[in-house]
Amino acid sequence: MLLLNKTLIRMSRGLWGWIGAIVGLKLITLVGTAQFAQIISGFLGNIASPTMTAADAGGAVLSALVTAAVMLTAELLTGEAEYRCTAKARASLRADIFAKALALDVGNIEKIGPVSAITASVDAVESMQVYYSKYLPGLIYCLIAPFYLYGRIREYSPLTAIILLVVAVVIVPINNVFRKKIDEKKTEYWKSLENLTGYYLESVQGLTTLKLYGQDDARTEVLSEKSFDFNNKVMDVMVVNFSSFLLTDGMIYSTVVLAAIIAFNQLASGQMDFGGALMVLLLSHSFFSSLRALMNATHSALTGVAAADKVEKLLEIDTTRPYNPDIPVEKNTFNGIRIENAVYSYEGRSTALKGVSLDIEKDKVTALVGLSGCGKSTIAGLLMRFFDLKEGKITIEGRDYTSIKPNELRKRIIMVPQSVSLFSGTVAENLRIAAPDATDAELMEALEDVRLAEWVKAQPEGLNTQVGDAGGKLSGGQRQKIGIARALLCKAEYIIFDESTSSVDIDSEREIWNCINELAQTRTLIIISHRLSTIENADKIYVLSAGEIAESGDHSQLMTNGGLYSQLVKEQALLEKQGEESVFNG
Amino acid sequence: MAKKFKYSIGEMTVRLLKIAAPVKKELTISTLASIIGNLSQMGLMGFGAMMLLNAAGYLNGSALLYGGLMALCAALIVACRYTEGVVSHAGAYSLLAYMRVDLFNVIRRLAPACLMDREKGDIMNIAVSDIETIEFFFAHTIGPMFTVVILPCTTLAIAFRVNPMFAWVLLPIYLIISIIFPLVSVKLGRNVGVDYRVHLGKLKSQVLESIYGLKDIQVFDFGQKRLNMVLETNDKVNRAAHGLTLHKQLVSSAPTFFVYLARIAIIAVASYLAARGTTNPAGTIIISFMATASFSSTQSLTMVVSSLLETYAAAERVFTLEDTVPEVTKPENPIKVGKIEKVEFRNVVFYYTDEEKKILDGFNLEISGNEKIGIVGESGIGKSTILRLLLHFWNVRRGEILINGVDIRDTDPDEMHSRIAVLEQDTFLFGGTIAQNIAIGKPDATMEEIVLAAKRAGIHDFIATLPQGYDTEMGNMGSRLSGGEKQRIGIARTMITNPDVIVMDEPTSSLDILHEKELLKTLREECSDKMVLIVSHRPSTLTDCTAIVRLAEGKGTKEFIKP
Repeated sequence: MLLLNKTLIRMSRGLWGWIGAIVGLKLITLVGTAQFAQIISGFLGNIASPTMTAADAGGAVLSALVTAAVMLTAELLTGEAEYRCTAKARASLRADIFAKALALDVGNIEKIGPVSAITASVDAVESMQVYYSKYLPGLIYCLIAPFYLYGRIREYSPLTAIILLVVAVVIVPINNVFRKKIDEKKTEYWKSLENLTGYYLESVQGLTTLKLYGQDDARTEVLSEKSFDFNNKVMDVMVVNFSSFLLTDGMIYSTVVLAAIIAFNQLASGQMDFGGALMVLLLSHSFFSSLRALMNATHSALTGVAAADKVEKLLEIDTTRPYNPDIPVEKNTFNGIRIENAVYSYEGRSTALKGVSLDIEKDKVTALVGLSGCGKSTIAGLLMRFFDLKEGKITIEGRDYTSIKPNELRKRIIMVPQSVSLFSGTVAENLRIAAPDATDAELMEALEDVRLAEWVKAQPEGLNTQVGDAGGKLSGGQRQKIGIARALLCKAEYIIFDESTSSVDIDSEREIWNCINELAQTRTLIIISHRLSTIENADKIYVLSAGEIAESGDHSQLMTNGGLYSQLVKEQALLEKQGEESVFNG
Repeated sequence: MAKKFKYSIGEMTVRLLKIAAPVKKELTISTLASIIGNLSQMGLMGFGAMMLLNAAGYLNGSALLYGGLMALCAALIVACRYTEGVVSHAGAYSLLAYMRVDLFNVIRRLAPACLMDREKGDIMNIAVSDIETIEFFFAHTIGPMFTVVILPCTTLAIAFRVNPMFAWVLLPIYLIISIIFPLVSVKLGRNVGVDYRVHLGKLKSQVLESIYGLKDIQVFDFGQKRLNMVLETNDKVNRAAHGLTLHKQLVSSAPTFFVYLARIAIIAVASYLAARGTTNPAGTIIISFMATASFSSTQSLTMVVSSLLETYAAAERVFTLEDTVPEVTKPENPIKVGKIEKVEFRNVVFYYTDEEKKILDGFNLEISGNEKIGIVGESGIGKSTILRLLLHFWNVRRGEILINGVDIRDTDPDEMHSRIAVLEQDTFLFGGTIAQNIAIGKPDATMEEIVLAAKRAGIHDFIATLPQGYDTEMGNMGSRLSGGEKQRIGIARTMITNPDVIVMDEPTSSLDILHEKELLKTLREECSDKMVLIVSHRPSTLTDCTAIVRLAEGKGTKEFIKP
């Protein structure tokens, strides 16, 4: 089947040398096969002839041995060349795909789904490389091999040679009648596979919840349905696939039989000698081995093509961000970050920010407060440039946000999110994400600040304690502390704390805040919190409500205002007082 | 090969064959088709040669018959290949579907205790890719196992009739290709297959982790390093694949070489016999052609071998997971406990794996009726552990936990799950609508019930602002929702069932003050008749508790609060 896929061919750069090498080595093997067939049939044809001497026989055995050895070498080298080709394909494809995945923003990820990202960069790449190491070389080889064999057979029987050649040449395009059907089935197959994979992953991840709510049985049932649906989809593909084999095999074997009959007639009528007839029979069988190999490779290559289509979908996502380096730096600049008339909305949700303007003055502490859903975290996301404004603008010390590359910007401003992500590896490795050159002493100091040093010291492995997959071996509070320590180690001038301490215990929280307050001496802090006691000392407090700034000022100003802020502070104080009483004076 | 592998090839083969039992019929048909098809390959070449021999005058008989038989063999090859392909795959893939479901059931038994350390991407890899690999065993191994015996035997029998000497030179080559070679290559190559699978699983986990931690990666401009890490793992995949490809190439080329040797041996024997004056051109030629064809099936076995290595590696991973002893098993005769009135922890000692690192050491606690218990203590000290023990994720190492006086190990987990509702620290959202997510503990809940639960959890107003309201799809990561919103959906889940006990792990960590108040009000008004356990580090959340348990050094002190 002729499978030429644009994406796959575009991504094949750097591989053609190896593809050529594979074809070359295959051709050497082919010449060997023909040579061998000639030696054998020559010998067998003369076996009854009295003219054959022992020397002739010895010569035949020896040259056959040499040919076999050459073929063995060529085949082993083919394996090596195939490996080189796949290794290169693996590295370059993965680099491209994973780099793209990293450039996605949260919205894109939601669109393609994390499962797609995995299937694209792991499974898809594994299936795609078959295309480069097996299919493409096989296809090229198939274009050359029949012509060579045609040349070898023509000497004995031009008629047979031409019939074999014609059949060999038409088989590949004829099989394309199945192409549309199989493409269709393959697409369904991939969809079903992804559906199953996604569902399986979700079921494993949410298994605790499922068990706690007694829903694991129902989940298993759906999983079973999806499993069998996938099974059906696989079979659909298989049936089409084997139908195409049926057609190909039918053509191949009819031709072999036909070639034998022609040889029989030519032999009977004295147009061909016996050795020639045997050679035709042997070679007619080998004539199609390249095609049969291609058919097998096609089966795997189809998976690769479907995978490539998935990858293409990922690669074609537009991850370019507005970048206007020519915007001039404003004069009389505001020293800090200024947001002007920011409008932002998430897809499928009502507007999150409806024209917010605020100033984050350098070396001061700015706090954003408000009820959940008021837009605080959206502002944090915009400040980090996880996404771009729909309207309005943001400037940092007079420079427009879009005139700076996101990674440049993020050298100056970082954030500690509500739930920190850790990566499997050691505690130290996770901390050094923020400060690659930090010494162990510096790491311990940061851990001291977040009250995790004791725990780390108590671990037999100390800083080299493994945190597990996504930090799974640590408690939520411990993960968060590492995330905060990470921020303390980082040298960025601006740090956003987005509800960073909401999951750590109260004693630690106090100390962490002491530490954060100390940090305020040297950095500009943006603190987002619904715990108002933590931001009382902020230089400026913005109170958000439903995507707009409701009021702003420092704590005492806002308290005298008697607005939303003072109302929240009072309620919280009351509740906390009651709580403290029950917990500490119980 | 000592202890490196958990299972021997023999054990795994037996186990796989047992799994294959339900599709015996399909496998028998496909095996027969495989045998007939391969014998026909021999027939095709043999009868073809006979037809030509007849024309050359070396062989008597009817050329038409030989030609007809050759055509019949050709037809059989084509038909059998189709039948074998379709039927064996139909059998194999239905087995895979069963295996996937069975594996999930295994994971269910193990969860959550034994899964804490497992990488989720890795588990998914086992369930999807590894099981897929096992297809090879069912669909492509059993047939060749038979043909590898039948074809050489047929050829040897014919060779023996022509001249025993042919049989004697062919025999060692058959032994090498059909028996010694596959066995040796399986033994040598086992590592290679395992490594490849393991590294691929790691790669998957790494990618998954990166996608989930994308924000942090972007914050610290960690992308390039992360990419390098992925590429490093990719190098490992490559190295393992190198071994695999070389092995594959060796096991496919070396037998080919031996096949050529066999054909050379035949002509050597023929010339030796000719020198001795016994020429039998017809016999020699037929043997030469048939032997060539007979090797095609034995060669396919060696091809099978290399893929089989991956299969065994995959099977090993599946079996290892299947054979993991679950931390908690359902008792044989579970005792129903009825409405939960009393929960007792008696001298409970608990540690995860290392006895030196005890989390709880002689912990005692008695809760009865509608007590509201707050559990406080530093992060990582074991507050959540207490809840997990009560939920029977783990067994206590010493001491006991009694529910209404019944040891928790004797209770019926299904009953317990229906009587205890839990709010976990992180609320996991599933694909599906918000309504479905809330109603997870009660899939048949009416819309009214769902809305009521959402109102009690203080999330109704938010849902009402969404364009699609309760029908909003959660998407893959639930990333549309903030931490507080997720948490309130979690709270709504606990409100929709009517449990005896409510267990909440940090219910207010992401809530603002108004929502926290709302939750407290709900707990006060709607749950006055229920037992409630709350882990929280926020004093305010524990306002309405009747007692506080302060956890330190593995022990808890229960302090009652004056009403």
